Amino acid sequence: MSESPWDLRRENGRTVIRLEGALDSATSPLFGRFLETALGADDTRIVLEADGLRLISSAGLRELIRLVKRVVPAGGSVTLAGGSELVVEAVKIAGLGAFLLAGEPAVNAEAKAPLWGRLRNFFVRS
Amino acid sequence: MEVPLAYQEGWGRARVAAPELADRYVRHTAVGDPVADALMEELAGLPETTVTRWLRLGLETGPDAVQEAPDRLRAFFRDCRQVPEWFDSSRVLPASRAFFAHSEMILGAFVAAVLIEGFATLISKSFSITGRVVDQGVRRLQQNNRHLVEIFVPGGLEPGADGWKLSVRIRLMHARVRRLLRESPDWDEPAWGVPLSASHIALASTLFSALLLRRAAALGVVLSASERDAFMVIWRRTAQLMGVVPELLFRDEDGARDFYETGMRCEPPPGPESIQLAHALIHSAPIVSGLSGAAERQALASRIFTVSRALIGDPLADQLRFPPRTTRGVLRSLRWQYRTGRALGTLVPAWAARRRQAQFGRLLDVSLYSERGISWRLARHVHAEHDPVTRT
Repeated sequence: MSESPWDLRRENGRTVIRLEGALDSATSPLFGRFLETALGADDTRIVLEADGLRLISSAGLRELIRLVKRVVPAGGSVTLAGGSELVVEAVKIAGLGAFLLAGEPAVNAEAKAPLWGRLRNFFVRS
Repeated sequence: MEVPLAYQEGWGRARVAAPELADRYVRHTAVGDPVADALMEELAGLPETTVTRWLRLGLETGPDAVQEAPDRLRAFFRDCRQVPEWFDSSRVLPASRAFFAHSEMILGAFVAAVLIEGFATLISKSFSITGRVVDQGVRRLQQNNRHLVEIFVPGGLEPGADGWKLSVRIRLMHARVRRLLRESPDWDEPAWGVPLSASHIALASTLFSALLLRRAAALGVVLSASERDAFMVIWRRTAQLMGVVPELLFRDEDGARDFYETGMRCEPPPGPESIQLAHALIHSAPIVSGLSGAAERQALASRIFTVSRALIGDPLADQLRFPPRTTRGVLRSLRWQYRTGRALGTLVPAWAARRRQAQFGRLLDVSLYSERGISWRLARHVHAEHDPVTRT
């Protein structure tokens, strides 16, 4: 990779970072360094614009986890806007859905079912 | 058909139950990976830095990025990017979800049983001679974990994705090491067959898929039929990328199980190398888990020996010289604990969500990551101690 594929703009109190291509073993170390240098203490509401993000690997998820751990405990937020079906699934699988996916419930649909229904489903699967 | 000496007795036993499959298995102990082996032949003698650069550009960017590379190499890059009609990343998402939902137990089954059962074959000869597990056991285990994680990340087997890249890298590394071993006086081909033979690569793919499902079930992992099917499709594609020859590529879970059962019958009993590797693997696991104290590591290794014995059975555990232990109730207890934990998660979804996040984090901790990305540098010497330690 010869240049950073991400651009950052600040608007309406949000810090928007555009993601393209893949966040993987090749690009994630660079992305991590980019975040270290580009983000300041005032960047507390971060939006990752991911319509152009095709793939994410565990290396990329690792950087997102670091970003969430940096921003969220201090009262900030990180949101993933867009992203392919595979990217969104990967984010959910990593347990990051509740933080990154706008409108994603903190618990999944099955968990919202009545307790008796959840127990029945558990034992049927077992 | 020429049968390597080491396989003659096992082949005779295996033919009783499955003659055609046994013949096919043993025939392919004399075969490597024709495509990748021809590639290594063509690249031999070229500057290693050039080869490394071509591999990095060709696999990270695409064949058009290496116009000056040999046609055979560019054709290899193009072929790797051909996605078979039976594979669709969206359709195997059930397996991705299931893998990460049960990752601790699946990884546990992988390390405590499947890898050890794989090493109980002549696969161990290659690794033992090169020292690439004994000398670099911790790193190797972290690499295996990383590969397993990446092939199950959604989209991980798309051309250019990390799971795809790591699978192709494994194929290329095997081809390079195969060439180095065949040129080495350490390797006895009439006795052992081709190093990292087509049969061994195929056997590994069936153990890592069908046997892994079986061993994980023994630890309490319950998957639906569609999750199991998708799991096998992911491994079938991975096996293809790793260079399993078409004649040995399994079609489904039943086919994979038949293959590994026959293959394991054909293989000779575990020898000193198998014992050495099994013990090295188990003693590496506590280090990979992040334990720093000697007493803690010893305690975890001791526990792994017990669980492993329960999973692989006393006969194999005794052949591998595991410490004698009683395993009565071990698996039942583990299944009960695991299912109780899962039931609690069903009752308290917020707790389950936190547990899932923590589980994913632990998965990252036991996998290998490098700030410099995937290393495309292939082995240069048959013995690992003469090769600088590689990155990912």
